[in-house]
Amino acid sequence: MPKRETSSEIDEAAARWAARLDRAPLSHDEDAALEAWLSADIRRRGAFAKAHAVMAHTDRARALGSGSVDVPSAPPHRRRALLLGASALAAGLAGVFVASEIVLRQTAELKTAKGEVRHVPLSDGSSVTLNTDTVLRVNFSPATRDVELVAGEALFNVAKDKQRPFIVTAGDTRVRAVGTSFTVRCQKDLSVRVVVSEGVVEVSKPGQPRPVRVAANVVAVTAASAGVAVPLAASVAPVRTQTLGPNEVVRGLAWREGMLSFDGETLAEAAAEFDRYSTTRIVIDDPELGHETVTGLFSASDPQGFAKAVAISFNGQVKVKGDQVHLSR
Amino acid sequence: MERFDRGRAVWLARFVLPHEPALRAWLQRRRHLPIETDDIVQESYAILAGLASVDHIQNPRAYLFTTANSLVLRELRRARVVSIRAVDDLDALGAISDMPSPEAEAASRQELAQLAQAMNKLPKQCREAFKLRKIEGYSQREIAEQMGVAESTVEKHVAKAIRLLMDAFGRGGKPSLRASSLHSEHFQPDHAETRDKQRD
Repeated sequence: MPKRETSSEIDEAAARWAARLDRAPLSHDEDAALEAWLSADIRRRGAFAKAHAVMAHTDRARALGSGSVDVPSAPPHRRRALLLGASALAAGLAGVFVASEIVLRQTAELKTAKGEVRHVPLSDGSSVTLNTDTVLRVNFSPATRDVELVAGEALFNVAKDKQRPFIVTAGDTRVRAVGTSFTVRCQKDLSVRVVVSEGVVEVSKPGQPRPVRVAANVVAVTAASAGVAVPLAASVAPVRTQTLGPNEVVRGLAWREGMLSFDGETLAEAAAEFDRYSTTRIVIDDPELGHETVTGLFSASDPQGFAKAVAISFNGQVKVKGDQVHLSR
Repeated sequence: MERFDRGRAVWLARFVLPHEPALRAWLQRRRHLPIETDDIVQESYAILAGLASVDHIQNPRAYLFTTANSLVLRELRRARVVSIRAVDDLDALGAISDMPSPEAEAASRQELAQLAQAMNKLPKQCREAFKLRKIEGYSQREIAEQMGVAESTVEKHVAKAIRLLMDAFGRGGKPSLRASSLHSEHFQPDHAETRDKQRD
């Protein structure tokens, strides 16, 4: 492989071209040479643009007057101010809320198709990100902010409004938030999984004496709903919680970027996860292979790529038959 | 002949260049990903320079970060399988790009002071030539006459000044790495199996 031109070498060449252009117009040949140089690597166009930006920036030096260069000046320290400014803004955003009757009312049904991820700002300043195959009903009134998660999974970033609690209902599970960030997922067995990434929510469910407070980096899973033939043993609480590492919480949100993240899940579990995002199904023909564990970050829309990567690490084979990707050893 | 109009160069100088150090810092925190900070930065500039228009860009800082982030994601998708640590980094880009840019409101006097400081740090001959060009407004030919050197020497001084200032403005004064390291040097898989997949 030929040695790749370093970015520093590119910057240097770009600076030479900018200086050359600054001296006098290019000849026809030089112009062609510059065009050839630029078109060989996109990084060169970037460096060339930056060299011109630097030249444009230094034009402002004229305002300094001839005496000013050579005059030492104190290095300004702006980093601290920058950080303070940012947090002040974040606080401001959470606090400022202009309410009017029109803004206070909103009803909508939001949907995503398989493999689709959608980010929707809501009228109260909150926002919701719908994961694949999700149906959500929004019903805001001046007194309440109700959202029904009919199917699928969604991430809620809730704007603070103490007067109007934000309530997500999934089956008979209710999640109540004031201002926070959390995901709610309806699982196949009809249990509901709530992961809080910021703030606190309260999860309630029939049979649970009082709402369970769920703080940041905690997951709450409610037992499969009654009505389904799953006997509720006395020892199984309707809402169970477990602490997660912050990385695990972020990992669980990889879907926002169209990615799936695994860390020790079995291949069978991973295949089921892919199933949520694509009509192409991964079929594991060898049960033993299904018990192997996988780790990594994968594109949710590329089950075939995932299957190939898996096949390489486990010495397996991939066969594509129509909508199915078969994995075997 | 101009490759892009001067207005774009001024726009980049005004609204993008001040954010490059922050962008670099943000990319540096993702060093363990199969990405190359310098490449992403250069390509981001290329994309912004190549836009048909920048009139629609309300928040250039956010636009710059979003552009860079899409390039990072493209690299991740290309690599297809990366270390699990990668996902730590798919974090709230939104939080970064939605940030206001206090720099934008910063007193332009402070900016001028920084500019003067950066120009002061140039080597003597180089500074002299660049000062005559940019502050006094002489052409390179006139400067050659004044300094009693060949025009090509002045061009070299100007090139050197541009090169040094590219680092000064973009990296907050830190020099660039001499060698662009290979992706694999930054890639530290947590699991052997992941590494094997990566090699494919």
